[in-house]
Amino acid sequence: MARVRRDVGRHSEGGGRVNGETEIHPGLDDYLARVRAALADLPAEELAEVLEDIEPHVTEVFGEPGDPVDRLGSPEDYAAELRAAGGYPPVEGPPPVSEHHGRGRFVFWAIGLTALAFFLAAFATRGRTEPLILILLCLPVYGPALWLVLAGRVNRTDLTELPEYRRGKRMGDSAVALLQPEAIAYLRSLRPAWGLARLIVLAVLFLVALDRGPGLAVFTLIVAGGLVWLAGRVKTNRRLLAITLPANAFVIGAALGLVIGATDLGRGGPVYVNQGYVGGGLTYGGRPLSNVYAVGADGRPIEEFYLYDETGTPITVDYDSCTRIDRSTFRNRFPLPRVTYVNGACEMRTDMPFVPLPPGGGSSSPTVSTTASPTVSGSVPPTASTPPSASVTAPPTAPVTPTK
Amino acid sequence: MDTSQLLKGVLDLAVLAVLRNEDGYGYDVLRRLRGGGMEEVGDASVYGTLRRLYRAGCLTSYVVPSDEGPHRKYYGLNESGRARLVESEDAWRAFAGTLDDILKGAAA
Repeated sequence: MARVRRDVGRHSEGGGRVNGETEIHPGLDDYLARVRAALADLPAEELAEVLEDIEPHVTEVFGEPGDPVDRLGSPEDYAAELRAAGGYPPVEGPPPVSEHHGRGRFVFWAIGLTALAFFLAAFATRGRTEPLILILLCLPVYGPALWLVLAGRVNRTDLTELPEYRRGKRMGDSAVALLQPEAIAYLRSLRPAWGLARLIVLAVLFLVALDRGPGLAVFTLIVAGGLVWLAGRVKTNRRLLAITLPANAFVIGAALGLVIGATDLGRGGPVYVNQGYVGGGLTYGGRPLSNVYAVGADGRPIEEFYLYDETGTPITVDYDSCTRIDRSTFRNRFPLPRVTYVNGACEMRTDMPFVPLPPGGGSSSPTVSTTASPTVSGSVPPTASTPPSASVTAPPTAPVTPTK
Repeated sequence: MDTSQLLKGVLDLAVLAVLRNEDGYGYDVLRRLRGGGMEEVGDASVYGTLRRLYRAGCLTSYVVPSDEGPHRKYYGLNESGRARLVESEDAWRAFAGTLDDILKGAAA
């Protein structure tokens, strides 16, 4: 407050005025940015008004002789002085007294931790039940927290008044502010689709889990049922967010885990997996394979190759064909012909259903076709009357062009 | 001595007073205060005070574009501000008079 300005008389009106177009003052932008940051908790409208006042002022002071920081103080001091004189609430001051402060903090962290556990467990599960132990470990804190919320022992303000909540919200808000308004509107428009998308994710996880983790399959069903049951209710009862938050974290974790799990298959080498089911006994990571493709070091598909195991025994599999007689034929020549249906006519194809990247040239592109949840259809054995799945009938969307 | 604490209490009145006859933007107000002898008033305090008086409904504000730099936001007194100024001025004179008497009495 007690900052003496001795040079004020020396400048006539306009004497120290800045020509913003030609004069650039080192440190000015930084100074203003720091003042802005120190006042970031003010309501946006008020902050804009304040900045409209002080930007010309600080700019002008920077254009005058002498060290502007000597006169104005550090940006943080300047902001603090303005805050005090302007009657704005002190920053990070003592948190408003809340009788349930301790409970609020407990609930905040317990639910946050639980949501994280749900996310990580779902992400790591790969169809197995064991990672769910993470969720189990959180139950001792989640249970009481959930009870506090649902029984009304902790209220919304007990959470929103927490400094950690406000800090998190501020970070979230500034992250959102970085987005274009169009992007925000687009994300908003996706919100109804999320209700459906998360059920699809859970359905996929359920099918994957059927093979490997019955416990996970049951848990997935519970989560799906819970989300459906809560979907309408949470709008009127915000307390139920204590349940939907971890459940949604589970879905997001599961979705990421499934995508990355499918990507890993492609990263292992030039072994690519086609959709459909042959049942010849080839499995990869516990999952039945329907076909195997090989790509040479130059990225060209190897059109014909034979597989043997470590003893030299041919790895023979039976394969699907248009004439069902061939079903009994086992062979170790790959890739197996793919049965496709074009205009109702059965066709056998040996080309690749995807465009491979040259080995080591990246791993994202070829995984696109493998991420199309091969695990789902792979676990459903077709019968003779099984209609070909969409991805089998679809001709390759891009010609197989070897990259040099 | 450090008069900043004394200043704090009267800054509202001082800001209202220098805007009595002529509207001004922030730096104007600052110059008028310092020109009037309030050397120690802090830059940011003046801007904070302006915003607080504005929020209290004592001031009007309008923006004037400037050719030479960022545009300027002018502040001026409205009816409520004038009433507040009269009120505060009376209170100040009464207070200053009382304090004056006390000081004289103590000195005598």
